[in-house]
Parts: sequence; structure tokens; C-alpha cells
Amino acid sequence: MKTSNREKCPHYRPWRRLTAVLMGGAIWITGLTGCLTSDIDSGKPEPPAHTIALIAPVHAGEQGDAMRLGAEAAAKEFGIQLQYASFKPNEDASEQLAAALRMVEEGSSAILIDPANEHVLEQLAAVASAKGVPVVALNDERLIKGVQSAITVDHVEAGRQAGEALAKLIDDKGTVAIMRSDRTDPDLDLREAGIRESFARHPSIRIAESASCGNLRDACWNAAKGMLDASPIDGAIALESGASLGLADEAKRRGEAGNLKIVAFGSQVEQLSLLQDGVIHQLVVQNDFSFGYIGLEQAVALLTGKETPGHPTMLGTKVVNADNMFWMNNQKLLFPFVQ
Amino acid sequence: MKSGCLSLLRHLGLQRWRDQLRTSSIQSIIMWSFSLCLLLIVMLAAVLLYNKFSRTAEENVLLGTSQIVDQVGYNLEDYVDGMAQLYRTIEQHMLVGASWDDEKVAEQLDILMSSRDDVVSIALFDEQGELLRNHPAAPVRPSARVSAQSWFHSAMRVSNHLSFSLPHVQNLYDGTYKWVVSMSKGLTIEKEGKPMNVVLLVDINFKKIDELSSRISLGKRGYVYIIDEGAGNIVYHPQQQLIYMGLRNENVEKALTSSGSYMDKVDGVKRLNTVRSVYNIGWKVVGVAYLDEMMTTREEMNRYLIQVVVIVLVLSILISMLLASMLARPIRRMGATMKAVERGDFDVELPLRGPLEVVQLSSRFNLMLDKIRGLMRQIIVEQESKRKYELEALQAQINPHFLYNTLNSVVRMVGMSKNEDIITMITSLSKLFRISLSKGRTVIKVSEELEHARHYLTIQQMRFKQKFKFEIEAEESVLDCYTLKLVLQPLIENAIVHGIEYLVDEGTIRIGARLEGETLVLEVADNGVGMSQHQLAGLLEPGESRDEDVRSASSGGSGVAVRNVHDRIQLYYGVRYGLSYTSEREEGTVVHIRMPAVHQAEGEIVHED
Repeated sequence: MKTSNREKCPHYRPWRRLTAVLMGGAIWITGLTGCLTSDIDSGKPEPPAHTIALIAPVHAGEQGDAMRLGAEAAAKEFGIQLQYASFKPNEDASEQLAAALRMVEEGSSAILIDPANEHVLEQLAAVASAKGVPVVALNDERLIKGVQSAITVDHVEAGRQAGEALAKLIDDKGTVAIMRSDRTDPDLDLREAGIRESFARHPSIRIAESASCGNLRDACWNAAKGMLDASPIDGAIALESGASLGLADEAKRRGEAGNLKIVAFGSQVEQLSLLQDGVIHQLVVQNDFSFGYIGLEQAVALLTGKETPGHPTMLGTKVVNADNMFWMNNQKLLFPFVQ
Repeated sequence: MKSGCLSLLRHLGLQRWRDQLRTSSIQSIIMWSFSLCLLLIVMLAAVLLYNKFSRTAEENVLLGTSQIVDQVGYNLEDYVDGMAQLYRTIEQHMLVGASWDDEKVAEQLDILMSSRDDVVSIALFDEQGELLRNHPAAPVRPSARVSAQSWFHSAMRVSNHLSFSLPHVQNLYDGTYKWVVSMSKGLTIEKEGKPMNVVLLVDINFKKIDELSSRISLGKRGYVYIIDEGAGNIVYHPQQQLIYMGLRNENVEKALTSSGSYMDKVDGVKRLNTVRSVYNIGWKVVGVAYLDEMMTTREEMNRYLIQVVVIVLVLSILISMLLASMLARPIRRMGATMKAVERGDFDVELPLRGPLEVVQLSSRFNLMLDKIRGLMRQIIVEQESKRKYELEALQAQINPHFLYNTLNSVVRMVGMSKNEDIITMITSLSKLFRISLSKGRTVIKVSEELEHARHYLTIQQMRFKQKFKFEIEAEESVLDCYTLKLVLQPLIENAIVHGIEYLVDEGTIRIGARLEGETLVLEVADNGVGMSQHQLAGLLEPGESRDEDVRSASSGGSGVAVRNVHDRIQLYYGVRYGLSYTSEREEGTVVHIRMPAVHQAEGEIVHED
């Protein structure tokens, strides 16, 4: 009897062991389900939100804010967190670089920057590429090493638009002058090239001696004064907003406001006010909102490993005057902020 | 032909499947059918639940979106109503008695302005667009071109009707460009007795409406935008810039013509648009909700249901495996036990547990096994006793006591020179032994048995000095029948020793042989002292104690010999046969031996085999 019992046991033991293992598995799975269920109850776990930093341009508060607006619109659309670094009027390239490097340090997934100069971009690109953080340059077409994408306006085309506008204002004949910047900026050089190219098509237009100034309105006023004193001119193009303001001030001082045709780049409130009052005749404006939006769009594309254009993205510019500046479409472009 | 082939194939397939089912084990059949059943039920439940849930989710999204949009609409309406109210108040204060230059009016306007921070400016123009009075007082820019502004136009076009402009940048004053909505109305008032057409403009900051709209979010990416019902201009859109740039499209036409909800598809993403009109200002609020993110609950449910189905499937397989093994285990156990029996182990026993049927089956099996064991024990006992009796019969063939007594008698006869008697005795003895041995056979002819009895009786007659007579009667037909050998001798011995020896008179012993139907009846009758009922009853009783009783009551172990005869007959021919006694005190005893009438020595052959 005993021996037969012992014979029987091996038949049933494996079954019992298998059952035990299966039961264990079942309990484990049930436990797992519990966890999953609690996950569902507590809501979906947040996906690792990318943080993208936008480094505003220096000396251009409103422009930066418009970029921020665009970047924010895109950030909402793509579910990205946006960090924004802005600068006071007295802060310059070094502060911008410091802010950008701090953003990289703090773990931003990508950096959008409107660099103050080439040095800032190079330094940032070197640090960021070492950390594998993509850099998108705004308002800059130099795709240097470490800069994966760039968004800029077609400066030559913008220059051409400005030149054509001025030529039309002075009826294709007369003397014109160009107010340059006292710093070297390839973008401004391209603008000037565009302007000169367009004037070359109008043989009766003579280009007078240029003047140059920095960002300060008074300095530019002085420079404009010098330029106008040197030779009488019919029209002038200011490459930067500061220069256009100084030029306008000088035109008003001379009582030639309206007569001296001024074409300028930029969309600062003072410029727009002068445009409405007819001191500045035409403004070539770029859409800073687009910079922010498209820049962030491309940063997201870089982060998700999608294809980005290998060349800088060129955005168009628009010429506005006192008549069309309050048109529905232009209002949002020129006055992006609801105050 | 083709369909025939198909049906044949199907039939074959089905047949194979059926065969497979038939040949597979109970365990797997139970397991798979259980799993399949559970899976089907769970899937059905999951599908039903999913349908129900997704419908509810969709309805919830629809309801939620329309509620939010309605709320925005109400808020906007309230705000506009409030502003219209404010406008009326300003109008009353400024224009009553055409006293806009009054100091008191300025004070009142101050209070009004300070109580409402969203009023940007109040201005009164004449029909040429010349400023009559404004608050806060500031010069109107010459470049403002008041008469060309749209609010001025609409005020002049329909007089005495308050019109709201689209949001626009206020460019009347120096310094700021604020986004405003202009409320304007053309009025005719009496100024110094002359009727005068004026336009009262109240600019309200658009910021409030902008904030009101931008704060609304429908899901993560959903938003609200506002259009002008008249021309479909966009009043507010969170991505207005992108639309102007052409980077984004909003299907305004569709929103303009529809009310309630409609679906559209942008960049392959389905969106739910909910439209609500804000009647007092002539705008439309449109809520855009992205269905994919609003329906995440549905996806979650989907995932959850899939998880549940998978888990239930696993569990159901586990449970059915367990159940199947539980059900199949007793059957396996039974099989194993049967195998053990097959191998010759009859000592196994099935435990009586498990389902009712299994318990019943197990108990039947155990009973059967028990019966087999009993039968085997019986066979063993029978074989053993058979051998014992044969040995005893063998011993009975040469009873040394009998031989000694007989030879003693012969010696006594020799002394008395009774030659005649000596010859008879020795002859009888020799014949007795010859028949006794009879070539080792156990079955002999009745005639031989009777012959044996006769020789025995002859010898005893001589030994007991003619104390008894004997008669042998046999039917002719009986003589050729077969009988177990040496069945009469112990009975005769018994009759002489217990019946005749103590008799005072001469005794008689009758031996008879006859047929009663198919039964052979041998009879030994004496007229001796007979037996009591008690003795009679004890004679053939089986059991050791009885044996001992009989043995003690009788001498020479003849009681045992009689029992042996009875047992041998029963062993050979069955329990129906054997000895039967009838006896009366002082009358004598009759013993009947019943055996089947066997005419051929088959039993002998079988026995020899």
C-alpha cells in the first residue's frame, strides 16, 4: 500500500508545482493591473515636457516680445514649455551669451536665439552642441557649426523693397542717402546691397555720402544732421530703427518733415507714430511673431528628429505706409500686443 | 462538382477536427472550451462597454464644449450689455442740455472713467469729425483722419443707433496705440436752439475681451475665436498673426453659416466646432476642440479594456487549466490504480473523494476489487484444502491401524488353523489395497467402490467375529457411474465402530447405490445404536471447534474422516452434494452420499490434468 502511494505521488507533483507557478503569475498580473488601474485613475502620466528657451535680441524690447508671442503660440500647439530671456536696454552681447549659456545649463532641450553678434552665436553653438542641444538662430542666416537651423528675412529683398519705395517717393530722380550702423553686421550689409541694387536700376538717382550711427537716438540725430548739412538730399533710407528716429528728428528740426522722404526698417512704436504723422514715409517691416513661431516649430522638428531645411528659412517683409498701416491685416502685424 | 468538392473538404476538415476533439484528453477539452467561453463572454462585454463608453464620452465632449462656448457667449453678451449701459450713462451725462463743456460733466466723466478702467477714452465729434470735447482731454492728432474712421462712418450712416466697431488700434492720440472696440452713435442735439449732429465715441479696451477669450482652453490645444457675423472678419483669434501670414487657415465661412456644432478636419485632425452667436454685438463665438485629445478618455478606456481582456484571458486559461486538471485528476488516479491492478497489485484502493460521479465510480471499483480479492482468497483456501484432503485420502488408503488389526486377526486365525478364513481375509485385503490404490486415480467406478466396500466389510466381519451381516444392493445403471474413491470406507468404519460395536445383537450394514434423476446416491445404513440429534447436528458442521467436539466424542478420528469425505465431495462437485445423515437412537443410522451421476471419467481426466 505504501509503495503504491509513493508511486502515485510523482504523477501529481508536477501538476501541483505548475499550478502554483501559474497562480503566482496570475497574482502578479493582477497586481500589475492594480497599478495600471491606479495610473488611469490618477490621469495619464505627463509626457516629459520639453523646455525650449527663447533668447530675445538685445536692444529690441518689442521685437523680442513679438517673437515671444509667436513662440508661445507654437509652444501651446506643440505642448512645449517656453522659457524666455529678455534684456534691459543697457544690456548687451555678453549678458545675452550668459543668459543663453545659463539656459543650456538649466537643461533646456533647445535654444532659439536672435544673436547680438557672431561671437555670441559661436560660443553658444559650441557649448550647446557639446551637450547635444540644438540651436536655432533667428534673424541670422549664418548656419555655423552647432547651429542646426536658422530663420531670417531676405535682407537683400528687403533692401530692394526699401530702395524701390524710396525711388517711387522721389519720382525716380534726386539725391538719396543711406544711414548705416556703426557696427558691422552682415545682415545690414545685405540690406544695403539690396538698396544699392535697386537704385542702380534708376539712373537719375544719385547716392550721396552715407552717415552711420549706433543705437542711440541722439547720436543718430547728430549723424543725420551732419549728413544733411553736407549735401541736400531728397530722400534717405535708415538701415536701423535708431537711425530712422534720428533722421526723423532732424527732418522735423529742419521743418522738412514730409518733404524729406524717409524709408526705414523696423516697426517700433516711435517709428509707427512718425509713419502715421507722415515724417517717415515707408517702413519695411518683418513679422517678428513668425520668427518665434517658425523658430519653435523648427526646434520641435529637430527634437523629434524630423527633417529640417538645410538652408536658412527666408521670411518675407512688408512695406507699410500711413495709408495702409491701419488696415486690418497690418494692424496685427504692427501692433501685436493688446495693451 | 466544385461545391461537392468543397463540401467534401469541409466535411473532411470537420471530421478531422472532430476526431482530434475525440482523441484529445478531457483536460484539454475542458480547458479550451472553458477558456474560449470566458474569452467570448469577456470580449462581448468589452465591446459593449466600449461602445457605450465611447458614445458617452463623445456626448460629454460635445456637451462640455458647447457649455464652455455658451459661457463665453454669455460673458461677452453681459460685458457688451454693461458697456452699452455705460454708453447710455455717458450719453445722458454729456449731452443733456448739450452741456459737454460743463465742469460738472467733466467731474462725472472722471468718476466714470476711474470706476471703469477699461474705458480708454470718451470723445464727442461734430459731423465734420471735429473734436467737440474729449476725456481725458488730449489733442487729436492731425493725421488721425477722424471722418475716415469706420466707427465714424457707421455712426453717421444710421443715426441714433449704437454701433460697435471691430477691434482696432486707436490712432487718435499721441503716444499710445491701444487696441480698442469703439462704441459710436450719431445723435442730433439742440445746441443753443439749433439742431446739431454729433458723434459720441467711447473706446473700450479690447484687452478685457482678449483675456476673456484667450483664457478659455478646450483641452490642451483647443481654443475659442470670435468672428464678426456681418463680414466674417476675425475679431479675436489666438493665432490671428498666423492666419494673416497664411500659416494657418480657419474655415470662417463654415462657422458663419452654421449654428450649433459641426465637425471639420484640419491637417488630418478632426475638430469639433461649436458656434454661438452674441446677438447684441453681432459677433459669433466659435469653440474649437481637438477630438483626438478630447477622446483620450476613450483611448484610455480602450487600453484598459484590452488589458482587462488580456488579463481575463490569462486568468481564464489558468482557471480552466486548474479546473480541468482538478476534474481530470480523479480519472487519472483511477487510470493509475487500474494500471496497478493490471500489474497484479490488488491491494490498491481508490480514495473516495472528488465529484459525486467519481466517488460512485471509485466505490464501485473498490467493491469490484474487493470481490476479486475475496474470490482469490477463496480459490487459495479451496486449493489448499483440496490438497490436504487428497493427502488425507492418500493416507486413508493405507491405514496402518487397520492393517495392524487385520494382520493380527490373520495371525490369530493362523493359530486356530482357519485356513479357509485366512485365504478369504488375505484375498480381501489384497483386493482392498488394489482398489484403494487404483493407479492413483481419485475417481473410480461405482462398481469398484462397492467392491472395495465389500472387501472391507468382509475383513471387518471376520475381525468382529461375525458380529454383523452386510448387504450390498446396487442398480445396474449405477455400476458404470463414477465416484470419488474411498467415500464408503470411512462411513462403514464409522458405522461399525460407533453403531455396531456396542450392539448386543447382531448388526446389519446395508450398502446401496442408486440413481435419483441425475444424482448418484450411495447409502450406508446400519441398525446400530444411532445418534442423538446433537451429535447428528455436530457431524457435518464445519469449523475447528466442532471438529474437536466430534473428535473428542468419537474415537480413532473417524469423525474427521467422515467430514473429509463430505468436504471432498463438496469440493469436487459443489456444495449441492455431500453427505446427509438420518439417525434414530436404538434404531440405527443412514448416511446418504449424493454426487452427480457421472458416466464418463471426465472429472478424472480433468483432475489428472
